[in-house]
Amino acid sequence: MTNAHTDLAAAWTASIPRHWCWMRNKELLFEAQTLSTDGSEELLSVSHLTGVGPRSEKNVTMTEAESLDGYRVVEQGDLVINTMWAWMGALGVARHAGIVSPAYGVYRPRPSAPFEPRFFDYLYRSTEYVIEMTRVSRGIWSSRLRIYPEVFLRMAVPVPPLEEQRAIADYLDREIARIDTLIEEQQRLIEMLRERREATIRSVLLSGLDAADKGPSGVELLGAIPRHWRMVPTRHLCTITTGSEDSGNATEDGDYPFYVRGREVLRIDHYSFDGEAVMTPGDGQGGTGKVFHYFKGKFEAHQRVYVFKDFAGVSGWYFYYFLSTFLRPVALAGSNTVTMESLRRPLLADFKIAVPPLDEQRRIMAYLDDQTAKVDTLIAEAERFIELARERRSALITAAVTGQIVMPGVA
Amino acid sequence: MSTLGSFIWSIADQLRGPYRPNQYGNVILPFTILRRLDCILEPDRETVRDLAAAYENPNRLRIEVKKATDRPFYNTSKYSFANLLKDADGLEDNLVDYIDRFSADVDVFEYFDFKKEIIALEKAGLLREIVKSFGAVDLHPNVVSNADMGDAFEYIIRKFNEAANETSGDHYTPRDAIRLLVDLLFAEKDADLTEAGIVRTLYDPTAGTGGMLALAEEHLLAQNPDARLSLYGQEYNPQSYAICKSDLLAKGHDASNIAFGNTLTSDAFKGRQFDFCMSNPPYGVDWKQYAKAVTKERDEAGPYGRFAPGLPATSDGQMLFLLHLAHKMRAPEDGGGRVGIVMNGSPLFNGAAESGPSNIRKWLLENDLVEAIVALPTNMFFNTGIATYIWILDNTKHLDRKGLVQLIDGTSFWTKLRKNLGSKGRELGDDDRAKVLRLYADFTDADPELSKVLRNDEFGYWTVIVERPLLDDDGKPVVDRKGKPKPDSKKRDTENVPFTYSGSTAGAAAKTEVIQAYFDIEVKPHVPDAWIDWAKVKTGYEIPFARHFYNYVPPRPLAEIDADLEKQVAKILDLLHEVEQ
Repeated sequence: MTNAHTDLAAAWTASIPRHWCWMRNKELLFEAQTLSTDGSEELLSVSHLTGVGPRSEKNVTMTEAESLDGYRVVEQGDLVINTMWAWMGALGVARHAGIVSPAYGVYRPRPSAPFEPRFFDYLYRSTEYVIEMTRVSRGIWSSRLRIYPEVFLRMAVPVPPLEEQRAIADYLDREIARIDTLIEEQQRLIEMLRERREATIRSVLLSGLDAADKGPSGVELLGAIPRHWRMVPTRHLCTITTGSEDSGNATEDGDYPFYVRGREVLRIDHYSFDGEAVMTPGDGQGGTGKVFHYFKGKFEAHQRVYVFKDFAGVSGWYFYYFLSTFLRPVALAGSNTVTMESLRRPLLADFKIAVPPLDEQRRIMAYLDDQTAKVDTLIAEAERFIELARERRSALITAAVTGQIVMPGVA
Repeated sequence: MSTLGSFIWSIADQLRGPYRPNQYGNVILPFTILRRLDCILEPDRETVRDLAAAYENPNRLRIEVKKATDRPFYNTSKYSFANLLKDADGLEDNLVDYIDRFSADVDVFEYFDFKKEIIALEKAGLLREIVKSFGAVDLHPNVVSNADMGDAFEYIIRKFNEAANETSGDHYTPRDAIRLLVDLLFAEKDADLTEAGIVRTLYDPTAGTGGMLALAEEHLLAQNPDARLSLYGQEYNPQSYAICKSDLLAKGHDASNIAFGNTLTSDAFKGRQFDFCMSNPPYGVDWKQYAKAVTKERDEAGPYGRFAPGLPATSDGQMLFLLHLAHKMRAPEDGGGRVGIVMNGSPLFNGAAESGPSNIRKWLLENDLVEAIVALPTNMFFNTGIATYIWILDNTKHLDRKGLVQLIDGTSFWTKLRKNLGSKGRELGDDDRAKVLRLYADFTDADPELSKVLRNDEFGYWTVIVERPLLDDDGKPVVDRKGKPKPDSKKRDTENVPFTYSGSTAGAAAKTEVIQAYFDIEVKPHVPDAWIDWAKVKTGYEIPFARHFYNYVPPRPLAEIDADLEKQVAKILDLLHEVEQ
């Protein structure tokens, strides 16, 4: 093996099979400098999630350059590295020909080099190789590290015989597709659980737990509710007010929770409210009608956050369940736009809550608390599963590209 | 917290309206120093006026005043706070007369542009009230000690900086960063500092408002209350200069060693060297407008001039200050000197072999001047979240440290601030600082994950040009007149060969052997017809800080992950059944 040691080589050496060799990238690749003359080729982009692919297939939010003249030509099988995002793993081997921004590095396999593009796509994008690239990158800001071509070309890389490269790539294509399917299925499971959670809440909040005679609620979207329940506008159930603070007054470790317009709850040094309350922002990026909070104790609120307090005839927690479930769909159904720019106080004051007798409220809350807690645990466990599956994906790639998995049919 | 300071600062409430908060300092700072000097001068005013009448020559007058009052500075005006308010119509003119008649070394009012401020205050109808307020505060040394005055003035400066930070791009060094720098600067010398009556010089070529000098002094006096310290500084921003000098005057210091001007073009202390030098120079700020003067000095000063080792690109002047300080250390034969300087990451690695920055590193390392480099946490400074490093230079290193550089990764030692101050969201608490100092003191025994001790030569490398023959149409090498093969410029390649390749510890001396060994093992097997162009070998130095603190964490074994996944699936199924019940 070569002695051009990097620390990665030192760490990997022990596991690399004897019949593999170490080479330096410059022996496998050279920097391709061809520029597009008219920019008519397919524009490719590089992502740390999906590697190299046509830009049109990706959800790219950055604006496109006006002219594509002077973009770099990429041939199928070229390695493309986003010089500035290599530390995030934004690199890969191109599956299609096309062009990329001049800010990217394009490396072409040398004609006689033992280079199976699919194998090296896995290797260069492996967690360990990306970390090694980060380590040799340079920059004053950690978020603006760059890997320079001469540095990348000097890095060492383990190289199996070509036939084994193909076998490993085939193996990984198959296995990684399986893991990715598994991850997608778990994500679907999480979506279904969220849907189930929502459906349980809606159904119980409109029907209760016991069989009861139902009559119209008076709100079209809600349909029928038990006849012994009442539909009451919020203004008759609580006091509606707003906070008076600005987000700028938050402190990192303040003594009291501070409800602002976003989903996140900040901290602050002082409080204006003390007691049971439900909060929802009147506008802001968090999404009107999407962010709701419940709190009991001393707290502070932003000047554009509505605070519902001093509940009478309804439990604050029950109120929270109902408001957070139905405010958005009901208010949207009555408006002629699909997004709510802001919530106005009259709309909130007139919003009707379906109120069961107090003891029934208590039973409903207990039931919903139990049900949602179970589903939430399950979602957390499913998320943990996805995390483990991603770890397995990464470890499997590393194991395969360092020769730790014996490929059937390869000597 | 200084109650006197906050009381004085509260006088600024009267300025509200015509003045914005970030302008309060322009009034409060000069008035505070004026009133302090006024109180100091009060008892001898008659004596000085008599002397002024007798001696017209200012030099003679200065000597006579010093003899009579034991003070280097004086004022010859017939006005003072005691009588300024008596002439209601002449207040503006009389105040100007008062500040005009200070001795030449009290030049701070000029740099505060105080006369302009007086005119503005008068126009706004505020002058009388402000003079009245300051006249009511007794700042005589018998009432307010030098230490208390120092605290009060520092408080006012801090209030001023806090207000000014919002609007200006100025570069104030936070006190926690200075404290660490000062601790490191004195770490090796603390034992010497306990000697009674010891005299030490401190120097800051980018003094700003004097924060570094003040904290360094505080540290030294805490170690040895009898130490006699002389503070030297240079500053090119007029207002910062005036604040720095006023601070020293307020504390009863000799302020004549604080100079106005640009250190890079006109070093006010040419030929002087110091025991302790420190600086937080501007980072990434271009020096194009001084480039001509600096280059001229480099060309004329010869091999021992401060800029002789090399010049950085004109886009960033921080390494010029590094070089400047390296030349300001007291000579080893006179006891040696030490430097602490804060810079960003670029001086560690910028520039290729034999570029200016690389040559500066080469000069520093080959002369064994770099003792330690400490990486500070990010988000430490008011106006930048950038990563910064403290370099400690020493020209008389301890025997154990000779030939070695200690790299300390302090990036994880910080405490979150309750409230961000500009970009500053983190601070080095006392514990954090103690941890860094412990790593420094433990030296080769320190935790290897946080501290590395490397030989000077481990930072060196050669850049080697590898040539391959130019082939003619028949695939035969083209030769020149001497029969040597001509290189193909398209196939030209460069290799960076570390001094330490294949375990060499001989450094630059082993150039031929090490490069040849590298070539034979790494290059020749792949390109048998290649050769080295020995005439083009270049020597470079870089300090790849982050690379040394990287730890390879291997992925967990697949079997272990699989076992976890199995358990997870079982758990999910159980929970799902529960939900579906």
